[in-house]
Amino acid sequence: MAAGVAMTPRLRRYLELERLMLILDEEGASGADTLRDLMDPIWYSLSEEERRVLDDRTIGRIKSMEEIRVPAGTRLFGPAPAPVTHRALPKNPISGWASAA
Amino acid sequence: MSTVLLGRNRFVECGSILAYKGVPLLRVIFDPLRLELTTPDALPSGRAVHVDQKGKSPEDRVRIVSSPRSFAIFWDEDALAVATLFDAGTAHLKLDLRPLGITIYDDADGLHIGQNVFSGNVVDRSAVAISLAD
Repeated sequence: MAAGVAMTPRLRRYLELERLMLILDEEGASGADTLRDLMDPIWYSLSEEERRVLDDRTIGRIKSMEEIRVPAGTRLFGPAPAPVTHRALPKNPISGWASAA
Repeated sequence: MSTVLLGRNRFVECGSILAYKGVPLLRVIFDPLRLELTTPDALPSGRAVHVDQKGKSPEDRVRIVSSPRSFAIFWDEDALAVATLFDAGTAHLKLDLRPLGITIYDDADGLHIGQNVFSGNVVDRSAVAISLAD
């Protein structure tokens, strides 16, 4: 952060929760207010200087979402599929196809 | 604003659609529309593909077909990725990397990645929309 405030573990935790809360708020999710209330104890545990710096910020609209993370297991990569065998068209009329079906 | 539609998912303003171990695997670039496909080099199938602004490889098996509103990458006669421009900022993507031995493709159910199926997701302004890692 700017303004010479050290990034303490407590402040980092607050900012991480705040980011989640802002994403929920941006999406209109009902959990934003609940999370905001749960953040109160952390807010009051911050120093006066930290709270002053946080209050003086201008927060832009949060649009980013986390990427989707997928484990690339052993089944993601495999051998190449077998080549397709091209069969020639029969030269003579097909007989008995109805009974075979 | 650029939007990519893939397997009933919507990717808005994303740097890359897929990345493997932090390296972009598939990117959709607008104006003009084009695709960049970079598979890992050490695939079990031995069919690594590179398509970017510099060119394509392997030269004898990868084919690019492009028009002002579409861009397609083929492996021999199999379509790997086909992007079609809906409007200036929206592209529809069909993807099937199975000819390369990579289980990533889309169908009516969604986007299949290995055993996972993704459908109805919106990823907005992420550097990488879907990140693959061990």
